Amino acid sequence: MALGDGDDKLVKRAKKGDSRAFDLLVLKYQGRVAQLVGRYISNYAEAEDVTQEAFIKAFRALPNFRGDSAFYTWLYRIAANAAKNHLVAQGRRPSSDMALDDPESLEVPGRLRDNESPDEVIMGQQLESLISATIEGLPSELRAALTLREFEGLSYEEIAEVLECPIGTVRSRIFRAREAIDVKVAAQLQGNIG
Amino acid sequence: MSTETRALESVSALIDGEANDLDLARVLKAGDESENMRAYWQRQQQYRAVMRSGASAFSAVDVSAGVNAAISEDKPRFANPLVSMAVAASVTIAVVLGGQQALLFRDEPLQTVTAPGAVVQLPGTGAIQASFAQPTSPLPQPQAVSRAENGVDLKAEAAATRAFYNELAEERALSLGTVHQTTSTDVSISPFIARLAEPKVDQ
Repeated sequence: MALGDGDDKLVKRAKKGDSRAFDLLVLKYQGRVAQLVGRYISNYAEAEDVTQEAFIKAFRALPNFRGDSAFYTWLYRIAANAAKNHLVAQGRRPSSDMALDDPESLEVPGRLRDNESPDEVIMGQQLESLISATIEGLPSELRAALTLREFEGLSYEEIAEVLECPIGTVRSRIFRAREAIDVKVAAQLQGNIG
Repeated sequence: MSTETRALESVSALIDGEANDLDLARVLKAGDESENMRAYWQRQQQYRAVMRSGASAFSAVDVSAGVNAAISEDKPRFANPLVSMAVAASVTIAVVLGGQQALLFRDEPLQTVTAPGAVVQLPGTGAIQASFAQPTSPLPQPQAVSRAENGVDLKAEAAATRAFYNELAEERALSLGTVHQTTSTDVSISPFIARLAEPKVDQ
């Protein structure tokens, strides 16, 4: 599973000024960008502001994005610079520096846990275990399609070969697996609230 | 399968980078019509992040409203070039039509440049000198003198030359008028009324 899957079409639309496409990119990457910014800025509210600023800068710079690198690499670079500039403007020095050669390395669990409240930790852990349990409980054909996609990173075509079924069926199974997870999580959240 | 379910399946395909153009159009359209698609996309991205690396404090960050508000102010900078061209074209047409109307409805006579050659005033254009003028007139005075010495009627010859030039100027004026009328009619969105001033030539 590549992080930038499907970005090309959205980036192309966003470059033409389609703010809906850019909105989907924001929704996709805001958590990861915030995580990156959080490595520089420990204050949650400040990190959130800088994350927002980074996306706005990215949108304005989008016409100059040539696609030499993946969109998220480019975006992470903008975010890292925004975070550093923020610290300099505040008269502080960046608390850490990091290579952005492999932005996916950002998703190392545990790096940001200092900022989390106990409630958030419990919520996060609950969500993690709930998703795992839901995947385990899926019908085998749905579970196979989803895990081959999410954990093995196979394309629909490759999954279709492995499972010996049409691509359309793969697409449908993955969608149904995701829906099942969504329903379970929604039910769990409602139970927690109620 | 309902329209919404189909749109959500397109979202799923888009998440995987397996969406076609129809899927993308369907997703964007569904996002315009309902908040469900957008929320579904956001939740699925969070689930994926959790599946990959576990939840973090920043999984819940949502800056999309602030970003959308900021970039909506930038939209004119990213306007479709066709829109910009259309605006430019509209301004051009307005100027041309405005000029034409001003010429058509002014009370005082058209101001023309008088010269020995034919001068044509075409609506929407400046005065066009169709042909000759005194400084460029090919009337060869020295030769005329020498020919006068040979008994040639200079006045009659000059009148004939002038008449020839007048005919030539009139032809050119009519030709220019036709071209202008055709062009204006082709590009104008309103009926074009051709107007052609008669060439005024001092006889």
